[in-house]
Amino acid sequence: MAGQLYDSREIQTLVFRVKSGDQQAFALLIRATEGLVTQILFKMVPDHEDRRDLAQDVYLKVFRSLPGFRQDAKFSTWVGKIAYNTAVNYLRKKKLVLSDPSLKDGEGAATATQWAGDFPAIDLVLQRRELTATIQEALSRLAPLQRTLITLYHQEEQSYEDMAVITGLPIGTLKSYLFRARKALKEILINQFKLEPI
Amino acid sequence: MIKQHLSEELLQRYAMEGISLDGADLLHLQQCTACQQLAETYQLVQTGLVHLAQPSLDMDLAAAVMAQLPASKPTSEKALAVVLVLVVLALAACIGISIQLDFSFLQSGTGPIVSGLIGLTAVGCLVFMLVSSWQDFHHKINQLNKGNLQPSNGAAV
Repeated sequence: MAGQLYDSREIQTLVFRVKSGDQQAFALLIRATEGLVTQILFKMVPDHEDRRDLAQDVYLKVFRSLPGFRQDAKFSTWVGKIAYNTAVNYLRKKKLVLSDPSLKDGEGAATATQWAGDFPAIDLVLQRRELTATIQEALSRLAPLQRTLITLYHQEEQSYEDMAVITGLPIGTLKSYLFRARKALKEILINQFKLEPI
Repeated sequence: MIKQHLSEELLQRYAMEGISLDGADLLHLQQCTACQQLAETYQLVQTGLVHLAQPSLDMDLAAAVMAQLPASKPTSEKALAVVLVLVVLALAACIGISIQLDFSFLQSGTGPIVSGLIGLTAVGCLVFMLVSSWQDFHHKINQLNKGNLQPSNGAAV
């Protein structure tokens, strides 16, 4: 998982300290959660300078909203939700696409009878560096929402429940989007290596 | 001959989420080359994803944000200390008045003096407990300030 993990009691103590007026404790809260925020912004915001500005905006919003934060909620998920909403607002302002319109709700799993005919055999002897570069490239071709979902699940190891809180999507929709995004990655990987059909 | 393969969603979740397959599905997977290849491809995608590098903003985000925060108000530590001092002063004043009254009624017996001493002891214990809690709190805060926040595996933030 990206970023450092802190004991939830230590985080609660830090939140309590910030709420009590100890601003220095906020720097530790930033360091505890900036990995997740950075991942979300990198997957949703294309411009490097804008990402830096938005990252600061996210934490200023977190600081201002902290008095309303309930201690029973998970702090990192709450911060992730603020980061996600900030990025969505940015995309709206810039008139950029959040999600691939072809990924509709309810377009469930294809059965093997649908895929067996065009599924290529894959050479599994790929060098890791080549594989990682290919996945990185494939990921960049997905829509921001799909990139973010993939990253939250596979790199940040967020649960479906936490991802639902962060993105505001119902879990069923989220699973459907994630399925499509993974499938798209698989297809890009297959095409990239020009694999022969079975 | 295999007529119905496993669903792509099931194979994807098996390969990328580690869900377990039931007996019939597992048997099918063991016997079906097409399903095995699809599962292996998804495992490859999973391998690539977990080895992606963590992106970086190339800046000290904490420092940049801290520089923009509004000036801090007096901390509650200070406020709490003021309240504590006021409470102790109020108690001392009450005890002083009580003892003074006791001395004026010395002729009536030792009862009021004994009750005054009991009250004094109780207040002393209370002050000791408050000071002890205060020191304990400061000790923990100092540990945090010295950077003793140890990352702990598996713990949620």
